[in-house]
Amino acid sequence: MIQRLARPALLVMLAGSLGLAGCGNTANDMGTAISIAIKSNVAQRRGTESKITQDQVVRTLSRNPNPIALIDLETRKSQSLMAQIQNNRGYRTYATPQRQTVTVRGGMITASRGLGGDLMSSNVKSLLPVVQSRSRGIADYEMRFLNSEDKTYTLHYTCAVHEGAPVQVVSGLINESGKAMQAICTGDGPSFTNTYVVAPDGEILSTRQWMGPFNKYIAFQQLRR
Amino acid sequence: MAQVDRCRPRGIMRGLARTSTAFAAGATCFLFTSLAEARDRDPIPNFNLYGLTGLIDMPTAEVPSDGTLSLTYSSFGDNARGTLSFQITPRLSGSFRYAGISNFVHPASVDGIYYDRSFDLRYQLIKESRYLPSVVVGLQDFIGTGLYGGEYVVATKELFPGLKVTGGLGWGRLGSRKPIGSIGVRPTEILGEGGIPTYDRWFRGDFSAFGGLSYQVNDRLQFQVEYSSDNYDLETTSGAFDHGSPFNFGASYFFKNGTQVSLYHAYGNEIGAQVTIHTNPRTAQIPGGNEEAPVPIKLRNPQGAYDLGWTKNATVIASAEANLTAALERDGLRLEGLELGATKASVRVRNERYGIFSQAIGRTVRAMTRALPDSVETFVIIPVSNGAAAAAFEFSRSDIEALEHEAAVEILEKAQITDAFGKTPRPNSAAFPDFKWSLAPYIDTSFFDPNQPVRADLSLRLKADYWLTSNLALSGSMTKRIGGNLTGITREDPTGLPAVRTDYGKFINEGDPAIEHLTLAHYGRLSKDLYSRVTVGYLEQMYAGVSAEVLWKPVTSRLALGAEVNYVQRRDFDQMFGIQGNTTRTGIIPDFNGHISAYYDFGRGFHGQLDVGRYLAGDLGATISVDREFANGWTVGAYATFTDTPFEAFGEGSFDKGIRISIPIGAALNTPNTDDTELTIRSLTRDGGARLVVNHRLYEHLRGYHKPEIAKSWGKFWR
Repeated sequence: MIQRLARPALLVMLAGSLGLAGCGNTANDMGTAISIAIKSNVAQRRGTESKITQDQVVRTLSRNPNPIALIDLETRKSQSLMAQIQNNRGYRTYATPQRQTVTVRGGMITASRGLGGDLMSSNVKSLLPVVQSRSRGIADYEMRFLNSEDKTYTLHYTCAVHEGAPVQVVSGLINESGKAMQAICTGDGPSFTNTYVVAPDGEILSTRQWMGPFNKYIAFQQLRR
Repeated sequence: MAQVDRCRPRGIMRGLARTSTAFAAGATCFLFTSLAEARDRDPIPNFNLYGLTGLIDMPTAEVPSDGTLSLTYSSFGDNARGTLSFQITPRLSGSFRYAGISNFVHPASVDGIYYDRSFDLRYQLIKESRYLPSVVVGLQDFIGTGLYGGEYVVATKELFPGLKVTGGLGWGRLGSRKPIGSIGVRPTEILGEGGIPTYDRWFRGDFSAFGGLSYQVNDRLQFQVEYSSDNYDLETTSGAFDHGSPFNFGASYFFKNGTQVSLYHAYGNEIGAQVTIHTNPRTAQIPGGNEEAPVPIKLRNPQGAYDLGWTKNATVIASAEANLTAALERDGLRLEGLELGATKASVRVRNERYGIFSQAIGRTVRAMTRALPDSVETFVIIPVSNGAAAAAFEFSRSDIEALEHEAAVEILEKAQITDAFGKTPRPNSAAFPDFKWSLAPYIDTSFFDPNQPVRADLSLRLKADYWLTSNLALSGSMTKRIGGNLTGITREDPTGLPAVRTDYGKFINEGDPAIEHLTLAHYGRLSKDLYSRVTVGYLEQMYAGVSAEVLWKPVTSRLALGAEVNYVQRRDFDQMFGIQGNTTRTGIIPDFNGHISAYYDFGRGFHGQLDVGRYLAGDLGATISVDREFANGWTVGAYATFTDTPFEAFGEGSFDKGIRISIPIGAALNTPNTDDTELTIRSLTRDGGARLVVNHRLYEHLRGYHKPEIAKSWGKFWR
């Protein structure tokens, strides 16, 4: 389970001690906001590291007929299973039970929501075909984020795509041969290296991508296509 | 000199002027944002005992990053200073300081402590470059009685990594030790009743040199040494200051979040300590927020667009409306009305969750794609703010489907944002009447009364809003004190005007329990671009009456014009149902007051407001306000009111002025929220230039849905 981020406990307690939590039926009072912050903070402390077990994978695959994937937020040491809930012309959106989503195109992550510091959208028109072709090349790549001021900013990158070794992908119901690919990207923000395992049909079966200065690296692995 | 700060929450359910849930919340928000993450933040330079970038007691020419808001408390010897500093633009900063000097012999001292308020301004003339130092010119205590009055020009240059040298020239206080020259004669008499810029003194009289070194050992630790040109003459003659040496020594520790703790050895005989916390509206919040993901756009069946069979089927229509209501409700939005045609759907929707309004529009669009029949190609979303249709957002559904995963600016270019007048669906009968209430404790505060510089009460507030129809609301708020020391304010400031505000002590002392407000308000649309409000009842803590307002605000205009007229009767001090009439201990309050107002969004984050008219005490004049606004809703600003009241009649301070900070709750807690809290620090509470407080003035409720404003944070549309 990927926990929602919250402020440190001390601060939430401080807010509570100022006595702003109350009752009522208004949707928007300070008390409600603080109680949400407290709840998510408590939840965060209870389960900072969450690993998905093989049992959970089996259970999810047997209960949910949709495409399933495993997401791993490296900086938070947090994993979750996600089920595909929408396909908008090739942009496939997967959701966790906690209403956090990741959108992929051809298996490459293009956006996230509800993780905090989300990748709002990206332009993969140049990078995706190069990676999917399983051959080396140079590609442009654009990532869009909101900053703390709620203004959009764009990071432009140029990525050098390299071929890696053949890999047999065995995860969930997927058992396919793939090819490791690496994109070394430099540009407006910090440099990073994304890695992909690409099936012969071009689908990216698993990816480890830099998702911005807030979340850094996130891995996304398909368990059923 | 006493005054009660006005701290005001704005938003759906807000209280009254003096209510300080706002302050508590504001202070909390400040701590929240300051003590939390410091990511994306440039290193903040060392702050000094005055709460300015500096060494120990002397300033440097270092400048924190734009938008840095810093709160400093320092103490050395008999001197205690609290300072709030704000980097207004990349080069300009302003500070407000409240200081207390113990063992100080002065007629205004209380129990030997002399309290003083001061404002500073600093401007960076030259940025540091390879060969040039950073150069800053500063005015210290430039409004007021001038206890800390001084001006300086200071230069700072990093010589080696970590080692910075500072040198400067100081006038006034900063030119009091071993002057090296003189420019004219520095006057000593106070202008007016104090509180007006001391321009006659600036850079005049003796000047002295000061300077020092700072060495940054690592990210956490810095040492400073300085030569101070401040002789502390006043503190030595009127106080117990013992000036032993002009050399000061200090060490600062910086925590990971930027908080600075410093220890000093100052002026040969004194030990000092200081803590400074920082926040910045531009970096404090989890970027993009932390709320749940929205639902994805649902694509239509390609053939569905031509299927109009449903238009005759009442069950399909009813189920579409029910589905849309449920989908919106899950996202904290309320469907107040739906006009469903074969190819076009208009919704009126109330947003009580998203402080960034583009997000409310985006979430509504998403819900519509999931609930409405495939043939509906045009979506019109009309957010309703306090019963008034704020704007109409029209989208083609095909664009929505095509641009979901593109940059948000693309859908903004396709959206048509127009006036909603005449386009708004009728509210459905199920939505009204609507009753909302809340009961919550809050903290009420009062600062700067020399008899008790900090006062606070813990109280309970019961609030209720009863919307009889979509634009007619009965609203009330009642408070009951639990405990504290806010009562007992005995000050009765001399005033040459009717005591429209200076009797606040009586209202506080006798108002328990108190009805903060109890009003019936009507919000309307008079025509295209014209909005109206009429509020009747117990309008605020001190006044009952009628308030009527009209606002002209085209949807895409940076300019808005408003007019307000009020009929007021003073309430009984106990703030129950009684009216005591408008005769006060110092004169008669006119029955009518009012203003015409101009609002203008200058762009680049600056907003101005000009109000011209007649104030509560009958004085005529104008209020000028300028705010630095951040897209996420934070604002930091200042205002000044000039009326025909002579300075002598106004009393200490000469005219009303203050600074104000508004912090959106959502930005502080990373949870969507439409409330924000406002903290106003004014120089003094006086009767001149005082305005009636009325809930839900139109402009602030509407502009967030209008084009210049909503476009600033449009990226939230797809969030």
